[in-house]
Amino acid sequence: MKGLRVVVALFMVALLAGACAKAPQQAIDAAKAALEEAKAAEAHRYAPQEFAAANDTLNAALAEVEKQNGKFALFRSYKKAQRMLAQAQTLAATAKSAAIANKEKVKNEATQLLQSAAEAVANVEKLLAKAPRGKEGREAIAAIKADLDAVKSNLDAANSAFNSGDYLTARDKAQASLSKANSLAEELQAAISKKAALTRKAQ
Amino acid sequence: MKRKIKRNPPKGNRAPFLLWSAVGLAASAVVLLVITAVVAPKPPIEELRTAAKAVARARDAEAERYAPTWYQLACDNLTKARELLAAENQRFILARSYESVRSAARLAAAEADSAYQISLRRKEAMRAEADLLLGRAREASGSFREKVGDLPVNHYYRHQLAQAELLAEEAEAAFRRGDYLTAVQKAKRAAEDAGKAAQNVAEELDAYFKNQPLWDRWVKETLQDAARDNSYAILVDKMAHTLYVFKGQQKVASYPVDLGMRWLGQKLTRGDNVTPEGRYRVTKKKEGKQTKYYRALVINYPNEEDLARINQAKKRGELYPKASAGGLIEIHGEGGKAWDWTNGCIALSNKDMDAVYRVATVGTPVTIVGRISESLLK
Repeated sequence: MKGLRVVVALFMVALLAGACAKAPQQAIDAAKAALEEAKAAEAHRYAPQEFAAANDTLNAALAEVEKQNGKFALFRSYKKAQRMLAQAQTLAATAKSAAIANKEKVKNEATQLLQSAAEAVANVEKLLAKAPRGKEGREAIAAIKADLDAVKSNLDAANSAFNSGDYLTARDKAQASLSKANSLAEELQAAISKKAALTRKAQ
Repeated sequence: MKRKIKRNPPKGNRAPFLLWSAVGLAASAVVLLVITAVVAPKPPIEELRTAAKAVARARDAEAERYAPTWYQLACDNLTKARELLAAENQRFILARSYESVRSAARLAAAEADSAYQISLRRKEAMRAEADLLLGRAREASGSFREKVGDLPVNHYYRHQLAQAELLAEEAEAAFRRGDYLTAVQKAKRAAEDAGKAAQNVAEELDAYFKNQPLWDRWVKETLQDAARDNSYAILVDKMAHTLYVFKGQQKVASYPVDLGMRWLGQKLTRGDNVTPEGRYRVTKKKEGKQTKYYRALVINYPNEEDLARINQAKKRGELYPKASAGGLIEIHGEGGKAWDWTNGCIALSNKDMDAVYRVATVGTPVTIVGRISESLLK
C-alpha cells in the first residue's frame, strides 16, 4: 500500500514537472542576439561560412523548439533545443570573432595596397618630373598622364570605399590601381631610357 | 476470561478506496494522454528540416546572388512554414492542423532546389561569360595600343581605355576569387569601354588615312615639279617621322624628325600643336640670332588651301569665328630628341639641319603629308 502511494506521488510530481516545461525563450533570445551581433560585425561578408553555420544551427534549434511545442505539454523536453541554442550562440560568437579578424586582415591588406598604390603613383609622377622640362616630350608623356589620371580617380574611389568601411572593394580597387601605376612606371622608364640612349648616341 | 479486543473505527475502510480511486484516475489520465499523443496531429518537422537543408544548400551555392528570385521565394516560404508551425502549436493539441505548414515547407524545399540548380548553372555561365568578356576587353585594349602606339590621338580615348583597363583588373581579381557575378559586371563595362575607345580611335585613324590619295597627289606633283628643272624638294612623312630630300625625282637623303606635340591630323588653329599638311615653299632662311633653334627654314603656312579649310571649319561651327590659323611653321634645328615636342614645326638634329639648310633655298617646295606611299619613294 505504501508503495502504491509513492507511485502516485511520483506520478503527480512528474505531471507537475512536465506541465512546467517551457520553451527556452531566454536561450532563444540570446542566440538570436548573438547572431545579430555577428551580422553587425559583417560576418556574412567577412566570415560567411562561420555565419552560415551559426545561422543553420539556430534555425535547427528553433525547429527543435517547435517540434517540442507540437507535443502534448507533458511530453515536452527542451533539453536538446537548449543544447542547440547554446551551440548556435557559440557559433555566432565564433563567426563574429572570425569576421572581426578577417575584416582587420582585409583592412590591413587594403591599407598596405593603398599605400603601395599611392607610392606607385608618386613614383610615376616623379618619373614624369624627370622627363625633359619645358615643352619637350610633353605630348609623349601626356598619354601616360591620361592613364595616370584614370589611376588617380580609381585610387580616390578606393580610398572612399576604405573610409566607408568597405575594405573588400577598397582592396580590389587599390590592387588594380597599383598594377596599372606600376605598368605606367615601366612604360615611362622605358621611354626615358630610350631618350637617354639617343642622347648618348648623339654625343 | 476473554479479553475484549477493541477494533479500529470503520474510518480506516475509506483509505483504500480513495487510493485506488486516485490510481484509477491517474491510469485513466495516462491512457488519455497516450491516446491524445497517438491521435494528435504530428508537426511536419522532417519536411521543415528538409526545406531548411535545401535552403542552406542553395545559400551555399550563392543562390542569393545567382538565383535571387527563387532563393527569396524559398526563404519566404520557409519563414512562412515556421510561423505557421508556431501559430498551430499555440492551439489546443487536438485542434491543430499542420497541412499549411507541410505545404509551405514542401514549397520552400522545391523552390530552394530550383534556386540551387539555377545558381549552379548561372554561376558556370557567368564564369564563361566573364572569361569571354575579359578576353574581349584585353583584345580591345591590345587593339587600341597596337593601333595607337605613341600616336597623339584624342586624349579622351586614352583616358577611356585606361579606365577600362582598371575595370578589367578588378574584374580579373573578382574572377580569381570566384566572384563571377562581379567579374561579369566589371568585365562587361571594361569590354564595352575598351571596345568604344578602340573603335573611336580606329575611326579617327581611318578618317585620317582617307587623305592618302590627296597626300599621294601632293607628293607626285611635288616630285614632277622638281623633275622639271632637276631642283631640290623636301618631303615630310609624319607617320614615319622622316624628312626626305629629293633632287629631281631622285631621293638623295632622309632624316628623322620631331613633330608637333599633337601632330596627328590637319592643323586648324594657333596653339593646336599640330604639324600642318600641304604643299608649301620655303619663304625665309634663318640662322644665328634670327632663330633660337640653331637654323630654320620658314614655310608659307597658312597657304590659301589652309585658309579655305579653316574658313569652312568656322562656317560649320567647328572653330570660333575669331580663331586664328597660326603661323611661323618652320623646319628647324635642336631636334633629334625622339619626342614630338614642337608646337607644329619640324625639328631636325643640328647636324641634319645643316645638310638640309645647305640644299634648301627660298622657294624650295616643302610637302608635308600624313604618310607617303612606298611606291612613291622608289
